[in-house]
Amino acid sequence: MGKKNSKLKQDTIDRLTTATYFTEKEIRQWHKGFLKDCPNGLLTEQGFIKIYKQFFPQGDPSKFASLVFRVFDENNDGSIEFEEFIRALSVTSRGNLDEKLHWAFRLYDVDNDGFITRDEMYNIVDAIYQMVGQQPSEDENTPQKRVDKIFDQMDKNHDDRLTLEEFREGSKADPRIVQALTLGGE
Amino acid sequence: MASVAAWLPFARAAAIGWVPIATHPLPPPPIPKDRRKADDEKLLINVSGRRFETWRNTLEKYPDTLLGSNEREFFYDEECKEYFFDRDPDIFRHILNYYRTGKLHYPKHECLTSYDEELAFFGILPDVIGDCCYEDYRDRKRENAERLMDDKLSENGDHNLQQLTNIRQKMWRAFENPHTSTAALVFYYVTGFFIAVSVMANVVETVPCGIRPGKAGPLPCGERYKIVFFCLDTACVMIFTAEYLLRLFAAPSRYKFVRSVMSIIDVVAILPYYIGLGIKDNDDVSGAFVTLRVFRVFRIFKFSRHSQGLRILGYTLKSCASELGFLVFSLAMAIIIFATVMFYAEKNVRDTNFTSIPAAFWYTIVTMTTLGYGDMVPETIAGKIVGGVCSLSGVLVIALPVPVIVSNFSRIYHQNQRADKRKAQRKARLARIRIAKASSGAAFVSKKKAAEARLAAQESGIELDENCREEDIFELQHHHLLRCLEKTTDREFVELEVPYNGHPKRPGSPSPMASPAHSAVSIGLLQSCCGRCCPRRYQQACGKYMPAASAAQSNQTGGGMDGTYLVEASF
Repeated sequence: MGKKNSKLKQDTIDRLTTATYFTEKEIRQWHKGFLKDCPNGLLTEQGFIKIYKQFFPQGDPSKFASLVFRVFDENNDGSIEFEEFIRALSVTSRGNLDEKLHWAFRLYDVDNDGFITRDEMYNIVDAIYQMVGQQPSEDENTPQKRVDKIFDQMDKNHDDRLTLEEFREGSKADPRIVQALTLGGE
Repeated sequence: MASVAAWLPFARAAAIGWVPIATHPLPPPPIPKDRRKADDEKLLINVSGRRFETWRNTLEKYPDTLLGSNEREFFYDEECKEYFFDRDPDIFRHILNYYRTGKLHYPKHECLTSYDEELAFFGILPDVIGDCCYEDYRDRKRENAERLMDDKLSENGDHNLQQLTNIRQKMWRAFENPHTSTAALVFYYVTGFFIAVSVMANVVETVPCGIRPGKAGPLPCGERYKIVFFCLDTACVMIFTAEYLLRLFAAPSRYKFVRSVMSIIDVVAILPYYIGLGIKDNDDVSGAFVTLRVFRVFRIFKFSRHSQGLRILGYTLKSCASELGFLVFSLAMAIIIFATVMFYAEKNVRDTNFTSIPAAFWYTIVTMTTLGYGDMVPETIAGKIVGGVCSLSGVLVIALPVPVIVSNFSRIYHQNQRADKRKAQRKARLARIRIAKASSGAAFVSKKKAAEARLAAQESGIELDENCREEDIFELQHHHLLRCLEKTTDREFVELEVPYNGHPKRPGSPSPMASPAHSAVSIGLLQSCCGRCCPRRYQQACGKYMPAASAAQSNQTGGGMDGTYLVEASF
C-alpha cells in the first residue's frame, strides 16, 4: 500500500535498459542507493535541494536545484520516481551531444513553451550565481552581456527567442560547448 | 542524506546547464577510469612495517577517502618513496581490499571499536560494508551500544548517589538498593522474614490438628488456634501496610509507582485482610470470604523484590509472550480437534465417560501432556487409535516452543550476570587506573620541586654535586613553564592526594599540565619570564629552542613586561 514505489519491478528494469545507457546491474545498484536515501521510492523537491546543498555549501543552490528538479520530473507530479531519475541520469552522464543539448534546452525553458526567451536565460544565470553565493557582479552587465551575446549568436531569425533547433545548431557551432559536453559525464 | 560521493553524478547533471552560459571554457573533466596501464604506477604503502603495493588507480577509485585523495600525500615519506601509516596492519588489509574489490568486509574476530576507528581514520563510511558482513557488524554495534549505555546508566546512578538532599530520596534509595546502608539491609531482611512467615502461616493453618467436635471431618489448625493465626496475620499485614505506605511516600513519581507491578502485588497482598475485617462472617458472603483468603497466597510474589532470579523469570515470560501465545493457541486447536473426534468415536459406548465434547477436553489435555490419569479411557478401537495419535502429537506440540523460551531465559540471565560482573570489575579497574595516574602525576610534581630546590640552591651559591646534572633541556623548559604559570596565577602545583575511594581531593589548585602548551600565550609568558626571572644560562637555553620568541619580543611593548599583562593582551 504505502511503499508501492520502492520495489523495482522487472518490467521497469527492462524498460530502463532499453531506453537508457545503463546496464541492469548498474540500475539495480542505483536503485539500492536511491532507496537508502528515499525509502519510499520518491525524491521530493526538498530532498533534491538538500542534496544540492551538500555539494554546494557556500551559496544557495535552491533556485537552481528547483529548476533542475523540474527537468528531472518528467510527468510533473511533484516528485521524482526512480525511473525518471535513471532516465535523466542516463542523458546527463552518458547521453550523446544532441540528447544533452535537448536536456539543457528543457532546463532553460522554464515555462515549457518550446522557446527560450532572454528572461528565462537571465533567470538561469541568476540561479547559477546564487549557487556560488555572490550577486551577479557589481558590474551588472557581464551576465547580461553574456546572455545577449549567446542570443545574438544563436537566434537566427531574430525573433528574440530560441527554438530547440536554433539552440542546438548554435551550441554545436561553438567548439567549447561541444568539447565540454562531449567529454563531460562519467 | 547519505554518502555524498554516491550522489555526485546526480549533481554533475547541473553542469550541463552551466555549459552554454559559461564565460570561460570549463576545465576538462577528470581523466576517466580506463586509461592505459602505462600511465599507471604502483604505490608502496607501509603500514607499521608491513608493506602493501597497489596501483594508483585502485586507490583513486574512491576519491572521497583518505587514500584516494590528496590527503595521502601528508603521509608520504620522501626518502623511502612510500606512504607510511602508523596504524594496525591487520585491519588495513581489509581496507585495501575495499579499494580492490569495491566491497568492504568486517572481520568477525576484530574489536568493533578498533575497526570503526580505522575506518574513520581512512575516511570510509561504515555504510559501505558489504551485505555479507553488514548484519554481523550492525549486531555487534548494537551490543556495544547497549553495553556502553548500561555502563553509563550505572555511572549516572552512582553519581546520583552523591547528591541526595532530602529524606525522601534517601528513603527511596534505601528501598531500591538495600546494600547501601545497614538500616536498609535490616528493613530488607525483616520484610523478607515476614513474607515467609505469612506464607507459612497460610499453609499451616489448613493442616489438620485434631478432630472437629460433633462433626466428622478433621479440624484444621486455623480453626483450633484461631486467635494465634489472627494475631500473626495482623502483624504481617501491619508490616506490609507500613512498608507500602513508606514506599509510596518515598517514591519520586507516585503515579508511576502506583501503576508498577510490584505495588499492585503489594496491594493485592494486604487488601484481603482489610476487606475481611469489614465483612461480618455470615453465610451470604462466606463464599467471597473464602475467595479473599485465596488471594493471600499472592504474598509470595513479594519475594520477587528479594530475588533477582524471580524477576528474570517474570521478565522472560513477558518477553516470550509471543511464543507462549503460540503454544497456547496450538494446544487449544489440537485439544478441540481431538476432543471432537474422541467424542464421536466413543459416543455410542454404554456408560461412557465421554458425555460431551467439553467432557472430552479433560481427556485430551490429560493425554496430550502425557499425564494419563486413567479416569477416562476409550473403549472402541477407533477411540484407542485416536487416543494414541493424541498422546504422540501432544509431546511434539509442547516440545516446540520450549527451547525458544529457554534460550531467552538463558540469554537474559547471562546478560544480567555479565552486567553485574562488569560493574564490579569496572569500579576496581578505574580505581587502579586512578592510582597509577596519580602516582605518575605526583612523581612529576615532586621532580619539579626537586628541580626548583636545586635551582634555589644554585642561586644561593651552594655547591651542587655533579650527578644531578642529567636533567634534559626539555624537562628544564617544562618546569620553567609551569613555574611561570604558577607565578602568573599566584597558585601552586601541589601533589594530589588520592584516597582509596578513587576521588582525588584537589585543594583548590589547577591540575598539573600534561604537556607544554604551544600557544602564543605560553611563548609570550616564557620569553617574558626569561627576561625577568631567569639567570643568564636559562635565557640562552630559551633563546636556542624558541627562535620565534625573539621575533615576538620585539612586538611587545617595551614597558610593563610582567606576565599578567601579557596574558590579558593575548586574549
